Amino acid sequence: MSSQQAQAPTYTLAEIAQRLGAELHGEGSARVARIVEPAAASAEGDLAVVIQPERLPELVGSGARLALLRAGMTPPAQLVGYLCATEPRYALAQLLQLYEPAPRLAPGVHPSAVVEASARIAESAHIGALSYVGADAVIGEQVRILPQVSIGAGSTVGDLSLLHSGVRIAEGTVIGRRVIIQSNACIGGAGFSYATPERGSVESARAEKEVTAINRGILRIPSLGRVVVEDDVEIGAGATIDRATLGETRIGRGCKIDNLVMIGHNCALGADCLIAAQTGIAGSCRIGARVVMGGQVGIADHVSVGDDAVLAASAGVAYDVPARVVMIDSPAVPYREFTLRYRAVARVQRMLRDLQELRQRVLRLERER
Amino acid sequence: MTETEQRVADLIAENAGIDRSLLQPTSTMDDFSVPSIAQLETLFAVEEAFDIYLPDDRDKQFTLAELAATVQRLVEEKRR
Repeated sequence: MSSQQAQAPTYTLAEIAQRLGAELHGEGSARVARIVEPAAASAEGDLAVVIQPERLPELVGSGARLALLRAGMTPPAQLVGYLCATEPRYALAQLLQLYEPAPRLAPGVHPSAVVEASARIAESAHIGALSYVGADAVIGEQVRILPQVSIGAGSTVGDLSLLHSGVRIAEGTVIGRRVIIQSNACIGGAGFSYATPERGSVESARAEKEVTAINRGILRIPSLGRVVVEDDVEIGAGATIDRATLGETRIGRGCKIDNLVMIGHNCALGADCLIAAQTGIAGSCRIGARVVMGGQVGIADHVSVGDDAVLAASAGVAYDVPARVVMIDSPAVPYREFTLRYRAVARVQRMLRDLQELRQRVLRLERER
Repeated sequence: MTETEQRVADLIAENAGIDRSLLQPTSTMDDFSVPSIAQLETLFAVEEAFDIYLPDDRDKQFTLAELAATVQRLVEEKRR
């Protein structure tokens, strides 16, 4: 068996226009070999991508003959062919998917991999070097497991999923179809869950806003549940998703989770959420569908976030968030409220200056009376 | 561009870090992916420069020409 990067296919400009739904101008027969930044365009088959207006000057005078532009941009004269996209970022995503080199991995199990006898591995699956597949695990059709991945006992990995090097899947985890997990993500670790024999500092702080009791002895609450990752989820490098205490931690279909995101035990995420890097979601949160979180969002335990809510970067969410609300700041507040507060603070100096002027005028008027 | 539009464009270019030559009357700061906080800071700079207080609905998306028209109106109101 072998593993290597496959050569990406090439397309004509007209073929790309058709697949992207973009407007074609000029030489549709030009063959595109590479997608590049404007400055890197040097060869005949290089297609330069310029979707931000401020980067258009980079294209002028570059070696680019072909380009993908945002609709409404004025193309430089040197272009012999170009595409105009009304949704340029979406067009870029489609374009790069066409040219993304997929790892070409022959079916089979690498001789250095360890596969327990009761594991079931589809014939079309690839198990990379030094990987481990536990007892009763099930690996679906065309699954690609790169080197040094461990799949715990009783886990399942759905068809067409791709697990990059170093991924850790704990026992009993369910991974859906077409899931992509980047290097060193850990799915199914034990939850951060502890109990004290009597009322402790956290309970007293919550109830009385001061510490009237202390923690005497900490007992681990074992995590006997599992993680379920639904179809088409993507999980970034180094992300961690803890398994549930008794039931499931569930990641909804199509969710995209960035590097170093931490999702606590018992959480349930709806479909198609987008969660940026270093976000931390504490245990037992309920996150609706299509929720978006910027980087470094923090959500306290047992919080619910409604469908389509947007949490700006670094938002600190301690209370439930309704659907379709934009939250920002820490503690998080609705965006509208934040801008009012931000403006008020920013204007204080000018207001004090105005107040001083008014005071002087009043004093002058009183003296003149 | 009117004189007010020119001044507003200068302030936007300087405070939002946008190439001045790319700004048109129809441009919005969103066109240049200016973060929301930077947009607010830019509006404060406009307020300072013209010694006005912009209305609080300015967090909606608006064009350079629309902002300049609001500025012009507030400056004229102040003069009366």
